[in-house]
Amino acid sequence: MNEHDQRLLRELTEQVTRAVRGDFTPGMLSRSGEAQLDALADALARLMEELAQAQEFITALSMGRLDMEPPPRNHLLSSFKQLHANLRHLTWQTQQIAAGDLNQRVDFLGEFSVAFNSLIAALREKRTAEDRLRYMNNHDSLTDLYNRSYFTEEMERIERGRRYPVSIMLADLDGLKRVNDTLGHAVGDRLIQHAAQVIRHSVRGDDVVARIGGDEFAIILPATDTATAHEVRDRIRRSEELFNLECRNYVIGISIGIATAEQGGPLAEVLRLADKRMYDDKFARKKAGGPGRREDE
Amino acid sequence: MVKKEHSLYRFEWKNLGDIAAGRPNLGDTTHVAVYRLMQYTLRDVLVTRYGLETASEILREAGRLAGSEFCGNMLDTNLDFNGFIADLQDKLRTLNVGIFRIEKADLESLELVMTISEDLDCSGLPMLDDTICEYDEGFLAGIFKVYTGKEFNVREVDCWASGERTCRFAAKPAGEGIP
Repeated sequence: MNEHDQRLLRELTEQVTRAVRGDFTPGMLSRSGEAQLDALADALARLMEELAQAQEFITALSMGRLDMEPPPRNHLLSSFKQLHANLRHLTWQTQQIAAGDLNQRVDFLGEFSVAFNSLIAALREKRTAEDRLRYMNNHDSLTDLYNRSYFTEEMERIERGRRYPVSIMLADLDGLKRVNDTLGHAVGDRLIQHAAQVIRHSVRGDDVVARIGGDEFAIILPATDTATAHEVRDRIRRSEELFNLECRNYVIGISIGIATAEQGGPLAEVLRLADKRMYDDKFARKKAGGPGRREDE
Repeated sequence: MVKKEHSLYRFEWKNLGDIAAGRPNLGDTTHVAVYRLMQYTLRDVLVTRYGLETASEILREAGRLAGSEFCGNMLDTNLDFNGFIADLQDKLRTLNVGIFRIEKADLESLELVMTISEDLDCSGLPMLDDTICEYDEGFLAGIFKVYTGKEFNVREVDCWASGERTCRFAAKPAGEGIP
Protein backbone atom coordinates (compact mmCIF):
# COMPACT_ATOMS: atom_id res chain seq x y z
CA MET A 1 0.00 0.00 0.00
CA ASN A 2 1.59 3.23 -1.10
CA GLU A 3 1.26 6.71 0.29
CA HIS A 4 -1.68 7.62 -2.05
CA ASP A 5 -3.57 4.52 -1.00
CA GLN A 6 -3.03 5.27 2.65
CA ARG A 7 -4.20 8.89 2.22
CA LEU A 8 -7.35 7.80 0.41
CA LEU A 9 -8.13 5.18 3.05
CA ARG A 10 -7.67 7.84 5.76
CA GLU A 11 -10.08 10.18 3.94
CA LEU A 12 -12.61 7.39 3.49
CA THR A 13 -12.42 6.49 7.17
CA GLU A 14 -12.96 10.15 8.12
CA GLN A 15 -16.02 10.36 5.86
CA VAL A 16 -17.56 7.19 7.30
CA THR A 17 -16.86 8.43 10.84
CA ARG A 18 -18.56 11.76 10.05
CA ALA A 19 -21.49 9.93 8.46
CA VAL A 20 -21.96 7.85 11.61
CA ARG A 21 -22.32 11.15 13.46
CA GLY A 22 -24.95 12.30 10.95
CA ASP A 23 -22.75 14.56 8.88
CA PHE A 24 -23.11 13.49 5.24
CA THR A 25 -21.25 16.43 3.72
CA PRO A 26 -19.12 14.97 0.95
CA GLY A 27 -15.43 15.74 1.37
CA MET A 28 -12.84 15.95 -1.36
CA LEU A 29 -11.35 12.53 -1.95
CA SER A 30 -7.96 12.10 -3.49
CA ARG A 31 -7.29 9.37 -6.04
CA SER A 32 -4.99 6.49 -5.29
CA GLY A 33 -4.54 5.17 -8.81
CA GLU A 34 -5.50 1.72 -7.55
CA ALA A 35 -8.66 0.75 -9.47
CA GLN A 36 -10.37 -1.13 -6.64
CA LEU A 37 -9.69 1.57 -4.08
CA ASP A 38 -10.88 4.31 -6.45
CA ALA A 39 -14.06 2.30 -7.14
CA LEU A 40 -14.63 2.05 -3.39
CA ALA A 41 -14.17 5.81 -3.11
CA ASP A 42 -16.69 6.42 -5.93
CA ALA A 43 -19.21 4.06 -4.32
CA LEU A 44 -18.78 5.78 -0.96
CA ALA A 45 -19.23 9.18 -2.59
CA ARG A 46 -22.52 7.99 -4.14
CA LEU A 47 -23.63 6.60 -0.80
CA MET A 48 -22.83 9.89 0.92
CA GLU A 49 -24.76 11.78 -1.72
CA GLU A 50 -27.80 9.52 -1.29
CA LEU A 51 -27.53 9.75 2.50
CA ALA A 52 -27.44 13.55 2.25
CA GLN A 53 -30.55 13.50 0.01
CA ALA A 54 -32.24 11.11 2.41
CA GLN A 55 -31.41 13.29 5.40
CA GLU A 56 -32.82 16.38 3.69
CA PHE A 57 -36.00 14.55 2.67
CA ILE A 58 -36.56 12.94 6.07
CA THR A 59 -36.00 16.28 7.82
CA ALA A 60 -38.58 17.92 5.53
CA LEU A 61 -40.98 15.03 6.17
CA SER A 62 -40.51 15.32 9.94
CA MET A 63 -41.43 19.01 9.69
CA GLY A 64 -44.57 18.24 7.69
CA ARG A 65 -43.27 19.72 4.43
CA LEU A 66 -45.17 17.31 2.23
CA ASP A 67 -44.80 19.50 -0.84
CA MET A 68 -41.17 18.41 -1.09
CA GLU A 69 -40.78 15.86 -3.86
CA PRO A 70 -38.85 12.77 -2.83
CA PRO A 71 -35.49 12.36 -4.63
CA PRO A 72 -35.94 9.85 -7.44
CA ARG A 73 -34.22 6.47 -7.48
CA ASN A 74 -32.96 6.85 -3.91
CA HIS A 75 -33.47 3.38 -2.57
CA LEU A 76 -32.54 4.30 0.99
CA LEU A 77 -35.83 6.21 1.16
CA SER A 78 -38.32 3.60 -0.05
CA SER A 79 -40.23 3.27 3.23
CA PHE A 80 -40.16 7.02 3.84
CA LYS A 81 -41.51 7.60 0.33
CA GLN A 82 -44.39 5.29 1.18
CA LEU A 83 -45.02 7.25 4.39
CA HIS A 84 -44.80 10.47 2.35
CA ALA A 85 -47.36 9.09 -0.14
CA ASN A 86 -49.65 8.04 2.73
CA LEU A 87 -49.44 11.46 4.36
CA ARG A 88 -50.12 13.22 1.06
CA HIS A 89 -53.15 11.05 0.50
CA LEU A 90 -54.26 11.73 4.07
CA THR A 91 -53.90 15.47 3.38
CA TRP A 92 -56.07 15.13 0.28
CA GLN A 93 -58.62 13.10 2.24
CA THR A 94 -58.73 15.73 4.99
CA GLN A 95 -59.31 18.44 2.36
CA GLN A 96 -62.22 16.42 0.99
CA ILE A 97 -63.67 16.00 4.49
CA ALA A 98 -63.37 19.75 5.05
CA ALA A 99 -65.32 20.18 1.80
CA GLY A 100 -68.08 17.95 3.16
CA ASP A 101 -67.18 14.46 1.93
CA LEU A 102 -67.59 12.22 4.97
CA ASN A 103 -67.10 8.97 3.06
CA GLN A 104 -63.31 9.07 3.36
CA ARG A 105 -61.68 6.18 5.23
CA VAL A 106 -58.09 5.65 6.29
CA ASP A 107 -56.77 2.12 6.36
CA PHE A 108 -53.01 2.41 6.12
CA LEU A 109 -51.81 4.14 9.26
CA GLY A 110 -52.35 1.65 12.07
CA GLU A 111 -53.92 3.06 15.24
CA PHE A 112 -54.24 6.46 13.61
CA SER A 113 -56.60 4.88 11.06
CA VAL A 114 -58.89 3.66 13.85
CA ALA A 115 -58.91 7.10 15.52
CA PHE A 116 -59.43 8.92 12.20
CA ASN A 117 -62.26 6.62 11.12
CA SER A 118 -63.93 7.04 14.53
CA LEU A 119 -63.74 10.80 14.08
CA ILE A 120 -65.37 10.54 10.65
CA ALA A 121 -68.06 8.22 12.01
CA ALA A 122 -68.81 10.77 14.75
CA LEU A 123 -69.01 13.58 12.16
CA ARG A 124 -71.33 11.45 10.02
CA GLU A 125 -73.61 10.81 13.01
CA LYS A 126 -73.64 14.53 13.80
CA ARG A 127 -74.50 15.37 10.21
CA THR A 128 -77.27 12.75 10.14
CA ALA A 129 -78.73 14.23 13.33
CA GLU A 130 -78.49 17.75 11.89
CA ASP A 131 -80.09 16.61 8.62
CA ARG A 132 -82.88 14.95 10.58
CA LEU A 133 -83.39 18.07 12.67
CA ARG A 134 -83.42 20.25 9.55
CA TYR A 135 -85.91 17.89 7.92
CA MET A 136 -88.19 17.96 10.97
CA ASN A 137 -87.92 21.73 11.06
CA ASN A 138 -89.09 22.01 7.45
CA HIS A 139 -91.60 19.18 7.20
CA ASP A 140 -95.01 18.30 8.51
CA SER A 141 -94.71 15.09 10.52
CA LEU A 142 -98.13 13.72 9.52
CA THR A 143 -97.84 14.03 5.74
CA ASP A 144 -94.09 14.47 5.13
CA LEU A 145 -94.96 17.54 3.07
CA TYR A 146 -93.24 20.86 3.76
CA ASN A 147 -94.70 22.82 6.67
CA ARG A 148 -96.04 26.37 6.84
CA SER A 149 -92.73 27.81 8.01
CA TYR A 150 -90.85 26.36 5.03
CA PHE A 151 -93.64 27.46 2.68
CA THR A 152 -93.33 31.06 3.92
CA GLU A 153 -89.53 31.02 3.47
CA GLU A 154 -89.89 29.51 0.02
CA MET A 155 -92.41 32.20 -1.00
CA GLU A 156 -89.91 34.89 0.05
CA ARG A 157 -87.10 33.10 -1.84
CA ILE A 158 -89.20 32.82 -4.99
CA GLU A 159 -90.22 36.48 -4.73
CA ARG A 160 -86.52 37.34 -5.01
CA GLY A 161 -85.96 34.91 -7.91
CA ARG A 162 -86.53 35.05 -11.64
CA ARG A 163 -88.80 32.07 -12.17
CA TYR A 164 -91.87 34.06 -13.11
CA PRO A 165 -94.72 33.58 -13.88
CA VAL A 166 -95.36 31.91 -10.52
CA SER A 167 -98.67 30.26 -9.69
CA ILE A 168 -99.91 29.51 -6.22
CA MET A 169 -102.52 26.89 -5.55
CA LEU A 170 -104.44 26.60 -2.29
CA ALA A 171 -106.22 23.33 -1.57
CA ASP A 172 -108.61 22.63 1.28
CA LEU A 173 -109.71 19.16 2.26
CA ASP A 174 -113.49 18.88 2.49
CA GLY A 175 -115.35 16.99 5.21
CA LEU A 176 -112.46 16.42 7.63
CA LYS A 177 -114.53 17.41 10.67
CA ARG A 178 -117.25 14.95 9.71
CA VAL A 179 -114.71 12.11 9.39
CA ASN A 180 -113.06 13.05 12.69
CA ASP A 181 -116.45 13.17 14.47
CA THR A 182 -117.87 9.97 13.00
CA LEU A 183 -114.88 7.74 12.35
CA GLY A 184 -112.33 9.15 14.80
CA HIS A 185 -109.21 11.27 14.54
CA ALA A 186 -107.00 8.37 13.48
CA VAL A 187 -109.13 7.95 10.35
CA GLY A 188 -109.13 11.74 9.91
CA ASP A 189 -105.34 11.66 9.96
CA ARG A 190 -105.31 8.94 7.29
CA LEU A 191 -107.66 11.06 5.18
CA ILE A 192 -105.20 13.97 5.42
CA GLN A 193 -102.32 11.65 4.48
CA HIS A 194 -104.19 10.30 1.46
CA ALA A 195 -105.13 13.81 0.32
CA ALA A 196 -101.44 14.78 0.65
CA GLN A 197 -100.47 11.81 -1.53
CA VAL A 198 -103.08 12.72 -4.14
CA ILE A 199 -101.67 16.25 -4.36
CA ARG A 200 -98.00 15.27 -4.25
CA HIS A 201 -98.39 12.68 -7.00
CA SER A 202 -100.11 15.20 -9.25
CA VAL A 203 -97.53 17.98 -9.13
CA ARG A 204 -94.06 18.22 -10.66
CA GLY A 205 -90.68 17.75 -9.05
CA ASP A 206 -89.93 21.47 -8.77
CA ASP A 207 -93.29 22.37 -7.24
CA VAL A 208 -93.34 23.05 -3.49
CA VAL A 209 -96.19 21.32 -1.68
CA ALA A 210 -96.84 22.25 1.94
CA ARG A 211 -99.43 21.51 4.58
CA ILE A 212 -100.06 24.93 6.06
CA GLY A 213 -102.97 24.12 8.38
CA GLY A 214 -105.07 21.20 9.64
CA ASP A 215 -106.78 20.53 6.32
CA GLU A 216 -105.10 23.21 4.20
CA PHE A 217 -102.43 22.68 1.60
CA ALA A 218 -100.51 25.23 -0.46
CA ILE A 219 -98.52 24.59 -3.59
CA ILE A 220 -96.01 26.96 -5.20
CA LEU A 221 -95.67 26.34 -8.92
CA PRO A 222 -92.54 28.18 -10.13
CA ALA A 223 -92.23 29.15 -13.81
CA THR A 224 -95.90 28.23 -14.31
CA ASP A 225 -98.55 30.27 -16.10
CA THR A 226 -102.29 30.03 -15.42
CA ALA A 227 -102.99 27.46 -18.15
CA THR A 228 -100.28 25.12 -16.87
CA ALA A 229 -101.44 25.59 -13.29
CA HIS A 230 -104.92 24.51 -14.40
CA GLU A 231 -103.40 21.38 -15.94
CA VAL A 232 -101.87 20.58 -12.54
CA ARG A 233 -105.27 21.17 -10.91
CA ASP A 234 -106.88 18.81 -13.45
CA ARG A 235 -104.32 16.13 -12.59
CA ILE A 236 -105.23 16.51 -8.91
CA ARG A 237 -108.90 16.13 -9.81
CA ARG A 238 -108.19 12.93 -11.76
CA SER A 239 -106.09 11.47 -8.90
CA GLU A 240 -108.86 12.39 -6.50
CA GLU A 241 -111.42 10.56 -8.65
CA LEU A 242 -109.22 7.50 -8.95
CA PHE A 243 -108.72 7.40 -5.19
CA ASN A 244 -112.44 7.73 -4.53
CA LEU A 245 -113.17 4.88 -6.95
CA GLU A 246 -110.83 2.58 -5.04
CA CYS A 247 -111.42 3.70 -1.45
CA ARG A 248 -114.72 2.68 0.18
CA ASN A 249 -114.06 4.05 3.68
CA TYR A 250 -114.27 7.73 2.93
CA VAL A 251 -114.28 10.22 0.07
CA ILE A 252 -111.57 12.75 -0.62
CA GLY A 253 -112.85 16.11 -1.77
CA ILE A 254 -110.39 18.93 -2.37
CA SER A 255 -111.44 22.50 -3.08
CA ILE A 256 -108.84 24.34 -5.12
CA GLY A 257 -108.04 27.97 -5.87
CA ILE A 258 -105.32 29.20 -8.21
CA ALA A 259 -103.76 32.61 -8.76
CA THR A 260 -100.76 33.58 -10.90
CA ALA A 261 -98.19 36.33 -10.63
CA GLU A 262 -96.98 37.15 -14.14
CA GLN A 263 -94.12 39.36 -12.92
CA GLY A 264 -91.89 39.60 -9.90
CA GLY A 265 -93.07 41.17 -6.66
CA PRO A 266 -94.71 40.25 -3.37
CA LEU A 267 -96.72 37.02 -3.57
CA ALA A 268 -98.96 37.80 -0.56
CA GLU A 269 -101.68 39.24 -2.79
CA VAL A 270 -101.48 36.18 -5.10
CA LEU A 271 -101.85 33.93 -2.07
CA ARG A 272 -104.88 35.90 -0.88
CA LEU A 273 -106.49 35.66 -4.33
CA ALA A 274 -105.84 31.91 -4.50
CA ASP A 275 -107.46 31.58 -1.05
CA LYS A 276 -110.54 33.50 -2.21
CA ARG A 277 -110.83 31.32 -5.35
CA MET A 278 -110.47 28.20 -3.23
CA TYR A 279 -113.50 29.30 -1.19
CA ASP A 280 -115.39 30.10 -4.43
CA ASP A 281 -114.62 26.55 -5.61
CA LYS A 282 -115.75 25.10 -2.27
CA PHE A 283 -119.00 27.04 -2.48
CA ALA A 284 -119.60 25.94 -6.08
CA ARG A 285 -118.86 22.29 -5.24
CA LYS A 286 -121.15 22.48 -2.21
CA LYS A 287 -123.91 23.95 -4.32
CA ALA A 288 -123.46 21.18 -6.88
CA GLY A 289 -123.64 18.56 -4.10
CA GLY A 290 -120.21 17.18 -4.93
CA PRO A 291 -117.61 15.83 -2.58
CA GLY A 292 -116.94 19.38 -1.50
CA ARG A 293 -120.04 19.31 0.69
CA ARG A 294 -119.09 19.68 4.31
CA GLU A 295 -121.54 19.11 7.16
CA ASP A 296 -119.56 21.42 9.39
CA GLU A 297 -120.18 24.37 7.08
CA MET B 1 -61.84 -13.84 -29.33
CA VAL B 2 -60.99 -11.34 -32.09
CA LYS B 3 -58.57 -12.93 -34.53
CA LYS B 4 -59.16 -11.09 -37.78
CA GLU B 5 -56.79 -8.26 -38.60
CA HIS B 6 -58.38 -4.87 -38.31
CA SER B 7 -57.43 -1.27 -37.91
CA LEU B 8 -59.97 -0.16 -35.32
CA TYR B 9 -60.08 -1.81 -31.93
CA ARG B 10 -63.11 -4.01 -31.54
CA PHE B 11 -62.59 -5.29 -28.04
CA GLU B 12 -65.71 -5.19 -25.93
CA TRP B 13 -66.33 -6.12 -22.33
CA LYS B 14 -68.42 -9.09 -23.45
CA ASN B 15 -65.32 -10.57 -25.10
CA LEU B 16 -64.24 -11.52 -21.57
CA GLY B 17 -66.93 -14.19 -21.84
CA ASP B 18 -69.23 -15.83 -19.34
CA ILE B 19 -66.63 -16.75 -16.74
CA ALA B 20 -69.14 -18.24 -14.31
CA ALA B 21 -70.41 -20.59 -17.00
CA GLY B 22 -66.96 -21.40 -18.33
CA ARG B 23 -65.24 -21.97 -14.97
CA PRO B 24 -67.89 -23.42 -12.65
CA ASN B 25 -65.28 -25.20 -10.53
CA LEU B 26 -62.18 -23.02 -10.78
CA GLY B 27 -64.00 -19.69 -10.35
CA ASP B 28 -63.08 -16.21 -11.56
CA THR B 29 -59.66 -15.65 -9.92
CA THR B 30 -56.12 -16.81 -10.56
CA HIS B 31 -52.65 -16.34 -9.08
CA VAL B 32 -50.89 -12.98 -9.52
CA ALA B 33 -47.88 -14.89 -10.86
CA VAL B 34 -49.99 -16.19 -13.74
CA TYR B 35 -51.08 -12.67 -14.65
CA ARG B 36 -47.49 -11.45 -14.51
CA LEU B 37 -46.28 -14.44 -16.50
CA MET B 38 -48.47 -13.32 -19.38
CA GLN B 39 -47.77 -9.62 -18.87
CA TYR B 40 -43.99 -9.86 -18.77
CA THR B 41 -43.48 -12.56 -21.39
CA LEU B 42 -45.66 -10.50 -23.72
CA ARG B 43 -43.67 -7.38 -22.83
CA ASP B 44 -40.42 -9.23 -23.44
CA VAL B 45 -41.52 -10.35 -26.90
CA LEU B 46 -42.76 -6.86 -27.77
CA VAL B 47 -39.52 -5.22 -26.61
CA THR B 48 -37.41 -7.77 -28.49
CA ARG B 49 -39.37 -7.39 -31.71
CA TYR B 50 -40.16 -3.69 -31.74
CA GLY B 51 -37.80 -2.03 -29.29
CA LEU B 52 -38.54 -0.57 -25.86
CA GLU B 53 -40.24 2.62 -27.01
CA THR B 54 -42.70 0.94 -29.37
CA ALA B 55 -43.36 -1.91 -26.94
CA SER B 56 -44.11 0.62 -24.19
CA GLU B 57 -46.50 2.49 -26.48
CA ILE B 58 -48.31 -0.75 -27.44
CA LEU B 59 -48.74 -1.69 -23.78
CA ARG B 60 -49.87 1.83 -22.94
CA GLU B 61 -52.46 1.73 -25.72
CA ALA B 62 -53.72 -1.70 -24.64
CA GLY B 63 -54.01 -0.34 -21.11
CA ARG B 64 -55.96 2.64 -22.42
CA LEU B 65 -58.41 0.34 -24.19
CA ALA B 66 -58.74 -1.78 -21.03
CA GLY B 67 -59.25 1.32 -18.86
CA SER B 68 -62.00 2.62 -21.15
CA GLU B 69 -63.85 -0.69 -21.07
CA PHE B 70 -63.29 -1.05 -17.32
CA CYS B 71 -64.66 2.43 -16.67
CA GLY B 72 -67.63 1.96 -18.97
CA ASN B 73 -68.58 -1.40 -17.50
CA MET B 74 -67.44 -1.38 -13.87
CA LEU B 75 -67.58 2.22 -12.66
CA ASP B 76 -70.40 4.68 -12.07
CA THR B 77 -69.51 7.68 -14.25
CA ASN B 78 -72.50 9.68 -12.99
CA LEU B 79 -70.89 10.22 -9.60
CA ASP B 80 -69.12 13.44 -8.66
CA PHE B 81 -65.31 13.34 -8.64
CA ASN B 82 -64.93 12.17 -5.05
CA GLY B 83 -67.65 9.57 -5.46
CA PHE B 84 -66.04 8.36 -8.67
CA ILE B 85 -62.62 8.09 -7.01
CA ALA B 86 -64.15 6.20 -4.07
CA ASP B 87 -65.83 3.83 -6.53
CA LEU B 88 -62.55 3.34 -8.41
CA GLN B 89 -60.65 2.74 -5.15
CA ASP B 90 -63.23 0.22 -4.06
CA LYS B 91 -63.26 -1.69 -7.37
CA LEU B 92 -59.47 -1.84 -7.66
CA ARG B 93 -59.24 -3.10 -4.11
CA THR B 94 -62.07 -5.61 -4.43
CA LEU B 95 -60.53 -7.00 -7.60
CA ASN B 96 -57.07 -7.10 -5.93
CA VAL B 97 -55.61 -4.81 -8.58
CA GLY B 98 -54.02 -2.46 -6.05
CA ILE B 99 -54.55 0.15 -3.36
CA PHE B 100 -55.34 3.32 -5.27
CA ARG B 101 -55.00 6.73 -3.66
CA ILE B 102 -55.11 10.34 -4.71
CA GLU B 103 -52.27 12.58 -3.57
CA LYS B 104 -53.28 15.74 -5.38
CA ALA B 105 -56.23 16.68 -7.51
CA ASP B 106 -56.72 20.04 -9.17
CA LEU B 107 -60.26 19.81 -10.49
CA GLU B 108 -59.96 22.95 -12.59
CA SER B 109 -56.86 21.95 -14.54
CA LEU B 110 -57.63 18.22 -14.10
CA GLU B 111 -54.06 17.59 -13.00
CA LEU B 112 -53.83 14.59 -10.73
CA VAL B 113 -51.16 12.75 -8.77
CA MET B 114 -52.14 9.21 -7.83
CA THR B 115 -50.44 6.27 -6.18
CA ILE B 116 -51.06 2.56 -6.45
CA SER B 117 -49.60 0.38 -3.72
CA GLU B 118 -49.47 -3.41 -3.83
CA ASP B 119 -49.84 -3.07 -7.56
CA LEU B 120 -50.85 -6.15 -9.52
CA ASP B 121 -48.30 -5.37 -12.23
CA CYS B 122 -45.13 -4.50 -10.39
CA SER B 123 -45.07 -4.62 -6.59
CA GLY B 124 -42.35 -7.05 -5.57
CA LEU B 125 -40.57 -7.07 -8.94
CA PRO B 126 -36.78 -7.14 -8.98
CA MET B 127 -35.09 -3.74 -9.21
CA LEU B 128 -34.82 -2.54 -12.81
CA ASP B 129 -33.88 1.08 -12.09
CA ASP B 130 -36.72 2.19 -14.34
CA THR B 131 -40.51 2.49 -14.29
CA ILE B 132 -42.32 -0.39 -15.93
CA CYS B 133 -46.07 0.14 -15.56
CA GLU B 134 -46.88 1.44 -19.03
CA TYR B 135 -50.03 -0.70 -19.06
CA ASP B 136 -51.19 1.01 -15.84
CA GLU B 137 -50.44 4.41 -17.37
CA GLY B 138 -52.78 3.62 -20.25
CA PHE B 139 -55.33 2.01 -17.95
CA LEU B 140 -55.64 5.17 -15.83
CA ALA B 141 -55.68 7.38 -18.95
CA GLY B 142 -58.54 5.28 -20.38
CA ILE B 143 -60.53 5.50 -17.16
CA PHE B 144 -60.19 9.29 -16.89
CA LYS B 145 -60.95 9.75 -20.56
CA VAL B 146 -64.29 7.98 -20.21
CA TYR B 147 -65.10 9.85 -16.98
CA THR B 148 -64.14 13.35 -18.15
CA GLY B 149 -64.55 12.99 -21.91
CA LYS B 150 -60.98 14.29 -22.35
CA GLU B 151 -57.83 12.52 -23.53
CA PHE B 152 -55.28 12.16 -20.72
CA ASN B 153 -51.53 11.75 -20.58
CA VAL B 154 -50.50 9.64 -17.62
CA ARG B 155 -46.86 9.03 -16.71
CA GLU B 156 -45.47 6.84 -13.98
CA VAL B 157 -43.12 8.92 -11.85
CA ASP B 158 -42.13 6.29 -9.28
CA CYS B 159 -42.39 2.53 -9.52
CA TRP B 160 -41.58 -0.47 -7.39
CA ALA B 161 -39.22 -1.54 -10.16
CA SER B 162 -37.36 1.77 -9.92
CA GLY B 163 -36.79 1.17 -6.23
CA GLU B 164 -39.81 2.90 -4.72
CA ARG B 165 -42.34 1.15 -2.54
CA THR B 166 -45.35 2.60 -4.25
CA CYS B 167 -46.17 3.49 -7.86
CA ARG B 168 -46.88 7.17 -8.38
CA PHE B 169 -48.63 8.48 -11.50
CA ALA B 170 -49.00 12.05 -12.70
CA ALA B 171 -51.91 12.78 -15.04
CA LYS B 172 -53.02 15.80 -17.00
CA PRO B 173 -55.23 16.36 -20.04
CA ALA B 174 -53.50 15.63 -23.35
CA GLY B 175 -52.18 18.66 -25.16
CA GLU B 176 -50.91 20.17 -21.94
CA GLY B 177 -47.57 18.41 -22.08
CA ILE B 178 -46.29 15.23 -20.61
CA PRO B 179 -46.84 15.20 -16.85
